Amino acid sequence: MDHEATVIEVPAQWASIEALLNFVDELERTLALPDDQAYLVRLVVEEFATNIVKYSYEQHKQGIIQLSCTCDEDELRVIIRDHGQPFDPNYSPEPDLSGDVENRSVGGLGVFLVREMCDVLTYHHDRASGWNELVVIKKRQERTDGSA
Amino acid sequence: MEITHRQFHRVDLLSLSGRLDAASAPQLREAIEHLFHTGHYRIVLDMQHLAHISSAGLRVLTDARKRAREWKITDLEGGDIRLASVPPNIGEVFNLTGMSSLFAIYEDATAAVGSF
Repeated sequence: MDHEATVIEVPAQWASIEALLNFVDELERTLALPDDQAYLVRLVVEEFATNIVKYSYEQHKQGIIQLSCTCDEDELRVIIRDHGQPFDPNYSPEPDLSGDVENRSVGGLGVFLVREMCDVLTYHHDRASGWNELVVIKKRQERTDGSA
Repeated sequence: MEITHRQFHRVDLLSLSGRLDAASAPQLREAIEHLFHTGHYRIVLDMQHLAHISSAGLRVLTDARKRAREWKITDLEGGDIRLASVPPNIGEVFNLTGMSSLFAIYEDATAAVGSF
């Protein structure tokens, strides 16, 4: 079963995070996502949209965030686009997960979590248009009961 | 997210229901800060009905634990944040981020409250 891409575009402002998360609520219902995919799409949207609002449009002030989502019987694909500062999460520093856990910073955990929980994460910055595009894919887990 | 508070003789139990994300994290931070301000530093968070946690939620938990443990009665006894009934998907996040070695985690709220 394929689903058409579902798209939302919002201003890159704190107030929009709630609208994006409400959109995720709707996706969960309409796409009937399994638990692991539902968890990931919410995490992706919150962590990356928050980063875009915090950092991406520092100089521009009036940016936008586009979120689209498709799924079929094989995978869920989440695409987040913005027009702000380039940021490739594949090169984001690893958070410190060892040593003094009591006093360590939890910065970078959101990106780390998404990287660990997804199957594919790609980033592309189009120099000509200025668009950043993040694609996160989570494959549907194979059923273990032998059914299709 | 809904937070239900139950006070015991030595321990405060906060039962969390829903999602602990960027939108709701300030609500939990405020609830814990309120307990700290009234001198209550032994806190159990019951996560049985928690469906989601993000980095914003993890930040509240680690900050709260650090604050609670600064309050000491003796070298062996003092404040702490302990967790109960952690669902598997949230447990996976704790394992990935090393939080499961940071917090004392109990099977249920009764065990966690009794551990103080």
